[in-house]
Formats: sequence, structure tokens, C-alpha cells
Amino acid sequence: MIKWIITKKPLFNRINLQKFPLDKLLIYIILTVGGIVTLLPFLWMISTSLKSSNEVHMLPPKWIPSKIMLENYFVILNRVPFKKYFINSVLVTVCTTVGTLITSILAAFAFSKVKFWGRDMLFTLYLGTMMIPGEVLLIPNFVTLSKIGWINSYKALIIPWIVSVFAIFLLRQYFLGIPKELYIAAKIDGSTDWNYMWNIMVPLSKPALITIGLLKVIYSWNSFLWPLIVTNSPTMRTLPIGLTSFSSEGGTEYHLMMAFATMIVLPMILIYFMLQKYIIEGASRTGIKG
Amino acid sequence: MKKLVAVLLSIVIILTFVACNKENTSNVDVLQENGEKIATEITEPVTIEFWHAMSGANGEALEKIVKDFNEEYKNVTVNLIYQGNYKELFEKLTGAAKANQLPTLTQIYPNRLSGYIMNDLVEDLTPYIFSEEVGFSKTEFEDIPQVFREGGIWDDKYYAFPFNKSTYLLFYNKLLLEEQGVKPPTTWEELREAAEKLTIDKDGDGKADVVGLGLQNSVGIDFSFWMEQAGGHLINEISNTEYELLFNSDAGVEAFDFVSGMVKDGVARLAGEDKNITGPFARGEMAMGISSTSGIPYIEEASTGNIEWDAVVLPKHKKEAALFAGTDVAIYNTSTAMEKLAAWEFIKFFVNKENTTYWATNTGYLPVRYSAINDAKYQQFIKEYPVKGEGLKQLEIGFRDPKILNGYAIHSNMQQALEEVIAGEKTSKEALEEAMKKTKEDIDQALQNFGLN
Amino acid sequence: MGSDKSYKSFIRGLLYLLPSLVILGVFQFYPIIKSLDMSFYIRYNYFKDVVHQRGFGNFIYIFNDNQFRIALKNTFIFALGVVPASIILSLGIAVLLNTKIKLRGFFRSIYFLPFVTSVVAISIVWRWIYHSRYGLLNYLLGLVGIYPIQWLTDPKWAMVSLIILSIWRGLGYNIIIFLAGLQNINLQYYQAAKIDGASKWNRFRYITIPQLSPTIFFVSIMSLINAFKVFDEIFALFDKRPGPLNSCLTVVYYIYDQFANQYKYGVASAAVYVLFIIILFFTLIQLYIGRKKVHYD
Repeated sequence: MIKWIITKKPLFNRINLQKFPLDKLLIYIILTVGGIVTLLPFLWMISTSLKSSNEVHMLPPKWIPSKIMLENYFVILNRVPFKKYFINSVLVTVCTTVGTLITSILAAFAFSKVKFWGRDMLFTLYLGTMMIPGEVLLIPNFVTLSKIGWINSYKALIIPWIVSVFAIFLLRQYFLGIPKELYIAAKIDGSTDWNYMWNIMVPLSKPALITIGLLKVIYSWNSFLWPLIVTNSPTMRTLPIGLTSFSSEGGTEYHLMMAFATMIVLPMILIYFMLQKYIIEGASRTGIKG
Repeated sequence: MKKLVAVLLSIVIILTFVACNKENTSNVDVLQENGEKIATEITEPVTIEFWHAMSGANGEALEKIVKDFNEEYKNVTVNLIYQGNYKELFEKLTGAAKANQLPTLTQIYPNRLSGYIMNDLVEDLTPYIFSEEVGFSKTEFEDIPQVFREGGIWDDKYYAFPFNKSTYLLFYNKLLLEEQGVKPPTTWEELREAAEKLTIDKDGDGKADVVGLGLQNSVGIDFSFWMEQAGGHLINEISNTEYELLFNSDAGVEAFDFVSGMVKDGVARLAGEDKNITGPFARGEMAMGISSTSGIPYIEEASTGNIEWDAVVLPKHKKEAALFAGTDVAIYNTSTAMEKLAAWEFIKFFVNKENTTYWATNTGYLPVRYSAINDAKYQQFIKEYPVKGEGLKQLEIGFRDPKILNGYAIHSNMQQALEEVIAGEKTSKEALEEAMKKTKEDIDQALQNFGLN
Repeated sequence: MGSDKSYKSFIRGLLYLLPSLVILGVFQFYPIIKSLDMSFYIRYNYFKDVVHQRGFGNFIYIFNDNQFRIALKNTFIFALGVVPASIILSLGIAVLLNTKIKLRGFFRSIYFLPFVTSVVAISIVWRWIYHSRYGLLNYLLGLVGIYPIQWLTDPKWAMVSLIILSIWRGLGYNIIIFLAGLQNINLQYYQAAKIDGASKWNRFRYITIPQLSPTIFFVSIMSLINAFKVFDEIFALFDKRPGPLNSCLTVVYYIYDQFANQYKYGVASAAVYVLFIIILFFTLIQLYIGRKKVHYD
């Protein structure tokens, strides 16, 4: 795309249009086309999710179904234990997020404000884990959880994921930016470190905490391979696992699959549009997802 | 702020507790010694888990029978747990075995069960079957067709019991066959001929709108009936640990050439993205299709208002042969004596005449008792609904797939081989040779893992 | 920093770190060692967790295993298919977004949207888009006279489908990073160049690209690493199979298959270590060159 613009540029220079914002128009056109391509799958998903089984297999495809089949969504709600999956997803997402925030606050505080022997070495060790791809940990973690009897439990879905070194790193940077004077003032007022951390540092770091929390929410909600491996009953499954196990011998019922997919995707889209500032801010600081 | 933190903390703590309590704590009692002394009476309430892979109409029928059972046996609750398709079910079982969380009862294929038997995790059902108190009488036991019963025997002991039994049939679109003046084929030659005639390009765009024969994507996995029909075999199973692979044979090459040839020539196609022939067959995009009888309810559902169809026994070649597939059920010995007995009671309940008839009437599976098959009511049913009786005609020519440890390797490697042949990457001979080599490695490795080789 | 050697402060520090340390210890540090150990399991009864024999057999096995070679090859093809295209596209869009246009925030939000959605859900949507007969893509291509393509069932096209999906999904993330990088470029460079009469292209070529090179480098390495870890997309797009004829069998899929379907824990662990070393290699390059490049001249 960029090449295309480049080759066009000299042309405009030659014609020398009198400040007519033709290049701007071109930019809009390119961006709009790109935007449509990005959105098309979502629109197609929603469109299909509202079609009847027959209309799904109709050529040429229609964007607006002749009859809006909201029933498809109710079919999903009734046919699969959707509610259970949904509750599990919410529970796991909330617990991992809250857990991550707590462990991050504690660790970030230690790494920024508490001085002790071996601190920098430990911090380097923490950062080192960011180089380990999660896939490396999968098999031994499965074996470990098998041994301690955690397979197919919420513990297995939550506990391994309540520490995020990236979150610790981000928060530590934030904590370091908080002026020392505040700490001294608090000490003079007789505050303990613990109280200082919760009452001063945490409220001051709200933007960072929100960012960390949101990235974790998105990551947890969408996580797949780990829940796939450690759950073995519908009572423990999360939404994405439910979706992949939802296809019967009757062939793939795309209208229902799309309704299911819509219900997984929608909550994150809503959160995203409400709080995108924090999410984009966070993402632009990551190198590592999650 | 303090409050907020306190609230958050307490939420986490509460949730953690909830999570802990919700978890299934499987209390494993002292293992029983080889089933010599089995429990014969259920004296206290027991709840058992039954892991299965039945969906759609098949799943609903199973739920109904379980509901009836739970009502009739006040002390027992059978908890149905759907694990997805077979492959997912078996994956989960392996994980559960490792985590010591095996259910009491499960659906399983013999080639998967072997590993558990060799690790002494499966309850020997022989004492239950022949028990005076809770077993079958001789006539009752022999009421179950031998082809089904035999599948559960390892070293002269019964470890599995027939559950959902299916066979393969040739389904066809009545109207399309009539239009082309084609009779349902009975031999391979006729099948090929029919497939050619039924491959139709209606709008003349050079692309067939109807393809003669539809095949499941897993055609290579369930390839044994083609192999048998061509006069070959997959394997000779000498004992639990000794075997001889046979599928790289002239018969194998012939069967591979035949099936892949039809696909390559465009007169047959795989289900493709639809994964299963049900959809395209019911939409009239395939004139014929080969599928397990387990798909009958789905075909019925999908074809309503679209096409009229029927099914016949598989075409023969050098000989007649029909694969009897579908799983058995087995009880894991990691459960308590009481749980095991409860599971056994459920098995008996499931295969009683009334329930096996209900099962066969409402699903695509077959009744597993002669008395049920010969019952006047059932005979009347299959007269009205001939498709469901068609499979039973194949009982005499039926065979089962191998049960060697890691026997699935045979099927998965053959699938891979057939795909390669269809894609034109290899000849049938080359592909089968490689598949056989790979299979041998896979099986031997599995035997070695368990210290058996 | 951190030279207060008093015993008390050490304990205090550790207490703060305790929750994270325990979890990292059990679920990150220990598995690294355990994984290495497991890669030497030759005869392993996975039911009973008994190791009968250890050795180098698994590493010999995977390098002789045709499937593993296919997996490595496919992973490289995937990475080469995704990374350059994704970077060129996202850099282009980021540069356009960085001009003075209205609706900039709006476009940025749209492009980033796929990134917050479930990979599995969205891959299943794409499975439907790619449907050869009823799919949206073949319909749209049909409008311009292109014959239907077997996106998911033809081994030649399956990888292309996977690559398109991955580029679509990852674009927004790269755009965000590039935008952040672009905004860090000192505007004075451009002003100076304008005064010198440099054309837009020359300004892009001689200011933007060099100034952005650390970001481009960072994004490239990160995209490469992520490309090497692709799994969810394949699992969902091809419905629990690695594409037709293993055409999308990647290293992680191979690991998953060996572990979850074939119960070859040792072989899977050996493959894990090979993947780990490849990724470590890229990470170290990133750390080494990234550090150097920060001070561009």
C-alpha cells in the first residue's frame, strides 16, 4: 500500500493541483477501505448469526436476512451449557485480573520502594521469564497440576495466571515516578509502608492499574490452549472451549456458530470501546501480549 | 480506598473458597483385588460420572434413558458428562487417568481401552456378567450378538460391554438416482459407474453441481471396510503385544486406487469444510454418500424439506464386508466397589430389551439384542423405516477394527496416506508403505512406554 | 540501590514478593527445568508417571520425523508470509494516520479492534468467510470474475488463508506501536528537511525510516516470535486439524498433537526445547541489537 502511494506522489507534484487536498482524499479512501476490510468479518458474523439455516446456504449471500432470527441466540443459550461457560469465563477473568493486580502491586512496591539485598538480581530474574514462551510451560504445568489434583478446577484455570511480569514491570516504572517527598511526608505522619502503598501509591497509579487490569481481562477472556487442556467437564469449561466443542455431527451449523462467536466477542468489544484509551495505551507499551 | 482493597481481597478469598468447594473430590477407596469379590448390593446413595460423546438426537436419547434409570434406581445417580467428539473424549480420559480423576463409566473404543487395561485401570466385568446376583443368565448373555460381545474381550476376560453400535451404509438421493436411471449400486464397479452418471454439471459452467459420491473427511480413518471388501486386512493381532501389520498389500493398493481414483476423477468428493457429508448430501450436492448409521438422525433433520433419501448395504468387491463401529462402555477400577456396581447396573439397564429398542428407534445406532431385533414391534418399525433395518442385514458380514494398543495409529496414518494419494503427492504403494512403517514405530513406541516390549 | 543488607529488610522485601515468587517458581522456573528433563524421557508410562528410560532419543526422533520437519518448514513459511507483509501494511497505515487528518482516533480504534477479540471465535468466523461455496470471500472474488478458491481444503491455499487471517488480526497492534514510534520523532527534523526542500518521499526515506528503525526492528522481532507460537488460529480455522495434508502443521501444533493426541510427552518436550531455543535466539538478537540501536546516529 505504501508503495502505491509513493509512486503516485510525483504525479501530484507534476500536476501541481492548487492546494486541492487530493492526497488527503486518497488517504481517506485508503484508510476507509482498510477499515472496511477490518470490520467486514464482524459484520458478516453478525449477519450470519441472524439468518435461518436455509438462508445461510443461499447464493448470492444476503447481508440483511429476510427474517431476523434472534432465535438463534436462544438456541445457543439452551442447547449448550452456555450460561455455565459464561459464568466460568467471568469468574476466571475476574479472579485472574484481581489476582494479577494484587501480586503486581506487592511486587512492584518491593521492586521500587523497599530496599533489600538481592533485589536487582531478583528483578532481572523476573524480567527473564518474559523471554519464556508459554508453550514451553504447558506440558510440565499440566503434569504438576495432575500430581496435586488440580486438573479440572478453577484453581487450575486461575492460579498459574495471577502473576504477570509485564504488569509488575509496568507498575514498577509508574511507582518509581511517584515523588519521594510523598513517602517522606507519609512517614512523618506515622504511616507504615503497607498503608503508604495502599493509601497513596495505589490511588495515584490508577491509570496504570486500569491498563494492567484491562489487558489481563482481554487476555483471560480469550485464552484458549490452557483451559482446553486442564478442563474436562462442561462445568469447568470457558466460552472459547465451548465454542470449539460446539459442532455436532449434523455438519457445521454456521448460523449458530456465529451467534455463539458473537456472544464471546461482544463483551470485549464493549469494554474496548468504553475504555480504549487505556487498552491502546497499554498495548503500545507492550512487547508481550497480556 | 482501604475499604475497596478489603472488599476486593474478600472477593478473591470467597471466590477461591467457592472454587475449591465446587471441585470434584474423587475419593478413591482401596482398590479391589481383581474383581474377585464384587459388591452385589447398593446399600448407600452413589453418584457416578459417565463420560460420553453423544450429541444431537443421540445425546437426547441417552439423556432420556439416564433419566429413567435415575428415577428407577433411587440410590444411584448417573451424571452424564459430554466431552465433545470421540477424539476429545479420549484426550480427556488420558489426562484424567494421569490426574487420578477417571470417571466411573465411559464410552471408549477398544484400541483406546487397551492402554488402560495394560495399566490395570479397568474393571474386569467378567465377575459381574456371570454373577448369580447381578449378572446375566446364559440365554440373556447370548441374546447379545457375538460380533458385539467379542469386542470387549482381552485375555479371555470381558473389559468392555457393547454400547452404541453402528455400521456403514450407502445413502442415496432418490430423485437424483431416478432421474439418471441409476439403481443403488451393489458392487464396486456399479458404484463407480453410478458415481460417474450422477456427477452432473447442471448449468454447464464446467463445474459439477452434483457430485456422484460423497465421502466423509475421515474416509482414511474408517478405511478398513474398503480394505476387507478388497480381500485385505489391516492387521493380524496375535496377542496383546504381538501383531503383524498387513495393510500395505495388493488389496490395500487396489482399495486406495479405487477410492482415491474416484475423488481424483471428480466423481466423488470429500465433505470438505462441511466436515461431514450430512450437509452437502441433504442439500442435494451429493447424489450418494457413505456414512455411519450414527448419522441417520442428522441426515433426517437436515434433509427435511430438501431431499428424499434412502440407504442400502455397502457395495461389495472381492467379498462382502461391513465395519461395525461405535464404542463400548468400560468401568474404571479407580472407583469404589459401590460405584462400580452402580455403573454395572446402568449398563444392564441400558442394554435391556426395552431400552436398546428405544435407543435404536431414536438414534442411528443398532439394537444390541436379538430379542429386541426380532420383536414384532421393532420389525414393524423397520418396515416403516427401512433405513434403520438396513444395517442389521450386515450382521453376518460384520467385523470390528483392531484393538491393539495405540491402534489408532493405524487409522491416522492411513488417513494421512490416503490424503497424500488424493493430492497426487504419492502413489498408493508408496503412501501405504510409509504409513505402515510409521504405524509400526508408533505402536512399538506405545508398547515400550508401558514396558511391554 | 539495594545494598541495605539488614536481615529484616530482606525478609520484608521477600514477603512483598512472596505471592509472585511462589507462582513464578512453580509455574515458570520449575517447568523450564522439568521440561528439559522430560525431553529425555524415552520410555515413559504417562498414566503412572514412571520413567523407564532416559536418553537423547527424542531429539534424534524429531529431527528424523518428517512431520517435525514439515512443522518447522511451515512455521518459517508462516513467519515469512506474515511478518514482512504485516509490517509494510501497518507502517503504511500508521504513517497515513500520523498525518493531520480528522477521524484519526476513529480509524485507530477500528484497526485495533480484531486484537481484543477471541482468536478462536474470530478464526471460526474466518472459517465461514473462507467457505468455498457459501463463503463471503469467494462470493466477493466471484464478483470480479475469480473462480472459487478452496481456501481451507486445498493444501496449496490453506497456508495463504492462515496468513491472511493472521495479518488481519495483528495489524492493529503493529499500527499502535508504529504510531507511538512516529510520535516520538522530533518534528524539527521534518521542518529542517522541508526548508531544505526535501520531497515527501525523501523525508519518509531519510527521516522517518531511520528514526523509526528501532521500532521497526522491535516489531519485526516480536512478530517473528509470535509467528513461531501460532496455534489457536489453526485449531479453530481448520476445526481441530492442522490443515489439509498437514499444510498448516506448525511447531506448536506439532507439540500439542504429540502431547495431547499421541501421548509422546518426551517427543513433545524435545520439540518444546527446539522452539524455545529458536525463540531465545530471536529474543537475544532483539536485546543485543535493540540496545545498540537505541542511540541512532
